[in-house]
Amino acid sequence: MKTIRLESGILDENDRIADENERTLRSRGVVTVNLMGSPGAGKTSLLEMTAVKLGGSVRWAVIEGDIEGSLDARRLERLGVPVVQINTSGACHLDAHMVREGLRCLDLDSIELLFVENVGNLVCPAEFRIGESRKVMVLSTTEGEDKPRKYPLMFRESDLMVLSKADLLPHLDLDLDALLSAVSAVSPDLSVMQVSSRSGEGAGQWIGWLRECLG
Amino acid sequence: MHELSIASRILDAIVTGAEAEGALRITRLRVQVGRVSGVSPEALAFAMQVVSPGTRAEGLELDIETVELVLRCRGCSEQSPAESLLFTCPACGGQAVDIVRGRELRLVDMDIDT
Repeated sequence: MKTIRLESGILDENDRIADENERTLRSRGVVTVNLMGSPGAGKTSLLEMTAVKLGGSVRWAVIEGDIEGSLDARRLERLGVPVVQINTSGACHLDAHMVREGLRCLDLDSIELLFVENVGNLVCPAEFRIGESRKVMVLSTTEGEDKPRKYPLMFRESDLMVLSKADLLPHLDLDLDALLSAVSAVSPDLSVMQVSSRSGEGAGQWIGWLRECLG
Repeated sequence: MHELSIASRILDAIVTGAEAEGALRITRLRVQVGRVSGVSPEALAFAMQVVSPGTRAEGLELDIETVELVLRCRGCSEQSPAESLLFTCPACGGQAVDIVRGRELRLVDMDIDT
């Protein structure tokens, strides 16, 4: 018997490919947003609203990550957004390798902004870097004020939290102050933006944030 | 499903490492799993049993070291182990803290038979 020292991170290979993706995207001048959140939080609706608000002013594309199917991709294609669908075949998150395959299907020289809509899940996507420039999480007002304390990692990893379905606030029991204080308890630096993709509330702030990222 | 994909990565890494050493079997593997790595030690142990049959790692003993969460407070600069996962400084109650330890997902070493 012999003992071999391994001393390596289990996600080292993922991080290596994420670095490679990041270099590829940066060299083409593409800003990449990893969009994460629970199933049904409103990630695709946010992108649909973004398509309408941006119109043709920004050249962008979407990589859609789903366990199965291409329902979300079709929603965005209808709005004229170029979409690459990745099916994870059971995996609960996108990893850097899957995104690298997705990038090969895109003409990176023709876009300046890329959204990667991750698999709906508040846990695993937070752990896998994909080569993004920004991490944005979508939490909907219907999910409750306890989520930051239950799933702290995603809140800590994100650069921005979009509180979606803001138009529902008057109809819900959600304690907004409790939610915001839970957010700042687990992730003091996280900015929060209230948005309704349905009514357009907060859309200006969201588009402004995106334009700031684009520089 | 998450631990299953992690287990597949581990298997690829250790089997490649064992082949390079000319090993016939991997008998033991030691890994570190942080409290806030998002990986459940029990689920990882189960997933390794699922992926390893038919490989050099079949039947290996998996030794999982859990790494507790250690925070450094930006306010009082104190570094201390956190008992809960609420990201509050145990010393002063400050909420602006950085994770010092607890996110580990590392392969430490393995025993092989050659």
